[in-house]
Amino acid sequence: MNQETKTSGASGAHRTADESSWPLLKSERAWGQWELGIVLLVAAAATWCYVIGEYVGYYLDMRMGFAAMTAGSMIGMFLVTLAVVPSATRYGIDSIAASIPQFGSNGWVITVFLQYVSIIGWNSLLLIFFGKSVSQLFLTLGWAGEGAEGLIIPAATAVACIAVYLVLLGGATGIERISKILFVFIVGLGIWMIYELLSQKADVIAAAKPSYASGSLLWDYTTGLEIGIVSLLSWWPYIGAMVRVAPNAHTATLPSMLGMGLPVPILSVIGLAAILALQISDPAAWLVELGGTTYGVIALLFVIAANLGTAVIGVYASAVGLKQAPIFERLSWRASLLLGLVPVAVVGILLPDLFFNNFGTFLAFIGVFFAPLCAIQIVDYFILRRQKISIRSVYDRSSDSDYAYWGGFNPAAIAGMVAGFFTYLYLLNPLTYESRSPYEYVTASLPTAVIGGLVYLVVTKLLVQPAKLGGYDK
Amino acid sequence: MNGARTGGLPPELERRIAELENPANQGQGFQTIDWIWLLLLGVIGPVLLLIWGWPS
Repeated sequence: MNQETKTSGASGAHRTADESSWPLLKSERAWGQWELGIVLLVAAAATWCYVIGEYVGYYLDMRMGFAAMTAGSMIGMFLVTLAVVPSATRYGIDSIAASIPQFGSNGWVITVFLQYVSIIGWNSLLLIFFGKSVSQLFLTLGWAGEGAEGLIIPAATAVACIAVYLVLLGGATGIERISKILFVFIVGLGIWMIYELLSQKADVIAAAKPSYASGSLLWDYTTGLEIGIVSLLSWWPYIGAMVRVAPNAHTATLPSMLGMGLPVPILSVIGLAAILALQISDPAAWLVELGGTTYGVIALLFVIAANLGTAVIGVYASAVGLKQAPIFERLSWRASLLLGLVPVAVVGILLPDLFFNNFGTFLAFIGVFFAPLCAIQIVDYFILRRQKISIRSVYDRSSDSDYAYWGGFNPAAIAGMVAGFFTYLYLLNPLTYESRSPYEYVTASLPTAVIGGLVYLVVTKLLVQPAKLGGYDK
Repeated sequence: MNGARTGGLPPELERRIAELENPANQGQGFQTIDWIWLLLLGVIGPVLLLIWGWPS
């Protein structure tokens, strides 16, 4: 075998792992802090930030909104980082594989479903936002008349889906390449937009009052914090597929906290300030008001750059996650990508308004499930397993696997998720946002995480470990 | 189970698992400095921000 063939063989094996859920070897995990930070920033920085900022702006003014949103975001990122980064970077595995020790060898049914629904939801939001921005710009420029929105939004969504598909044919290499290009657009235009808004509307923003304030400052503040926490908990499905390309947890810590955690509240300031000052969060609309059509074109460029990068990373993460499911294991990379993209296209083309108008419920759905999920992983990895899992058992689907538990499911994880689910529902109704005490003091997602983690710990100690299942005795 | 061959796995996956079962080929966990950053950015910082943001 000559050198060229050897290189080609190694590259082929890496490519196979890159486009599958197989663990990446240490030699294949070459992303440094900057590369990882840029990819994570591009993943996090999207127009969902405007919608997050808009929701916080319904309840809080600029100063309180910024504080609550940023604090919540960093707490949410802290939980996600502790839950996924250590095992993903130790063994080169994604979020779904990292959760198999806790949920069982058939537990992918639960986590793949959550990942799939969450990423499809976020991608739908992004592409609908993109379609709306294109439509808004076409109307502003006079390229389309009133009523054309119904045609432009589906067409723009379809074009975006095709672009995402083409980029991802190259696997994670495609992500790194496009992230470096988009990074400049996202950071540069994001800073410029914040400057424009704050410099032109500073007085209005400072004096603005939130339109849906409840009357209780504490409840509004806690709700701003809660929105920040649950928004960042939704990075759970994304982060594993990215940090697994880093060689160790140290390389991934700051990129995770600063690259993926901090850009969301910073960019959300745009949505927060815009909703307070102009009562609209879409920059394609308010930038036209501030600076005419040129500004509108710049805003659209930003929306394209930010949303395309995030959608690319989201579809990649969901395609890798789906490969954990035995029924999709042998599916080609192209077909896996389509499984992540087709539902987004369907929602974006057929149900854009229905989905867009129920964003708050979608956020609460994330808190309901991802808060206990993160806590279960943290308790299991750090307390019960002392930072070691069996990488063989993660991929062994036989009944001999350490993670076979009972029928491939771990009752401790299911009990923890159910306990977390009902804790959240008791504290905050995801549909109506009606709350019960002590929500105003502790949020809904933090107690949900604590209860979910505690129940997991107790059931493991009382049931799983005495049955000598889960590989805890090795 | 650890270290033993698991029947039915594709050869390439088997090779990867065997290599990763050696601790020398695994990535290291959080270092002390990482824990400090995590606590600063994920716990202490948010608490200080919440105090700053609350109207005095």
